[in-house]
Amino acid sequence: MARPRVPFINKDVLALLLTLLLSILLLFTRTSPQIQQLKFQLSWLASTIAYPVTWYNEIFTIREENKLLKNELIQLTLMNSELESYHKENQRLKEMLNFTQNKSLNYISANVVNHNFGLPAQSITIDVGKEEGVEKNLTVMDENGLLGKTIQVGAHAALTQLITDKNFRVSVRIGEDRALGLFIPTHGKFGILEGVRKSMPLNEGEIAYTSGISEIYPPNIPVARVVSVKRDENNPFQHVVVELVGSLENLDYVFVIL
Amino acid sequence: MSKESYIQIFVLSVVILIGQIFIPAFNYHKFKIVPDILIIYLTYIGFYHGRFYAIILGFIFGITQDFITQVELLGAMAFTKSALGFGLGTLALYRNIWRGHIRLLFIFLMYLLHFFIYFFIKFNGVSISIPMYLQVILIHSLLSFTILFIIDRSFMKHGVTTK
Repeated sequence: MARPRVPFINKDVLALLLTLLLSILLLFTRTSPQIQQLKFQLSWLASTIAYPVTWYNEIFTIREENKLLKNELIQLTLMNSELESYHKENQRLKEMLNFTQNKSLNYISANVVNHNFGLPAQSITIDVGKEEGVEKNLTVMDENGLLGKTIQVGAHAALTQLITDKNFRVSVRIGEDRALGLFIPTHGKFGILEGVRKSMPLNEGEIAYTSGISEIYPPNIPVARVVSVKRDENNPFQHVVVELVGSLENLDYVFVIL
Repeated sequence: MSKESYIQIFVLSVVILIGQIFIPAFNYHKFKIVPDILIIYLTYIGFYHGRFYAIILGFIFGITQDFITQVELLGAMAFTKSALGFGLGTLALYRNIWRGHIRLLFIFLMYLLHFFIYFFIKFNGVSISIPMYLQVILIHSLLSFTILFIIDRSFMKHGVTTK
């Protein structure tokens, strides 16, 4: 006798599943706060249940990522060693450059310990003196350009006349022709260049360098930048207004060229 | 099931549905308590006719209730009543195995579960304390269960309380 066939899903379960599914579909078409909250809770529940699967899948992703990162690490290590080599080379070249510069411009650094902006002269006091090899009439500058010269020297201090002092003068060269001129301070960080002949083309922004004619200042130290140029028919020279390139604000460290 | 039985079930369902609309409600704290006579009827359907009819009728009752009372939660009552129909249909399977008090305990637990799910959906995101939530569930379940018990003892010859 043949056995009666047992259905895989009986009609009761099927009816239940269908009605529940329909109910849920209807329920989730609603937008009331309760249903929104319910959706949120169900999604949280689903993510919590699915967490082990996600975690398991992530392990493979992490392994792949780890492999890639290892490769990248090797590449970066190689690059790093290359950079280190460049760094050493750079240091060596700098040392060589310093050696070359020291031959022409031997300087020592100094701290500014006092500012004197009043009369009789605009000056600063630096913390190096005779003991450090500093003498009278040595050039004082910062990394940008000329700042002044030493006028009085003590054992461990020196008074420096600033370039902004009204009695300060320095011979400069400017332009393609390296025409001679004389820098004279006027007010603040501004000054004028005297004696620049009218025939010489000059543009705004050009830098005036020390000429080297004077025994005090070595040549080619930046002094000032051209702000404006005026040419007068009655005057054989140009009227050149310049701005100092040296930073006189917040002056803390300077270099004395020995 | 005979054609007469279908007609009988249909007519009774309509009458009970109308009766459910007009059944008096009372307030407990700020909650409206309505005795659910539909689940009582569903209990008998499950007990006499089995799961299939209980599920289908439960769904129809539920969806009708949703349309009449709470369109914003359309499907909530249909969901719980379908599940309740499935649960109460078990009574037919164990009709000759379970004794009266086991049956009653099962029915009460089914009612509790039904109201628990229903009010979980209804009170979701609403600020209500858990004791109050449980009280509302318990009162609804007890009320329906008491009505069932009284009806069964008073009118049914071979009802769910029969030993």
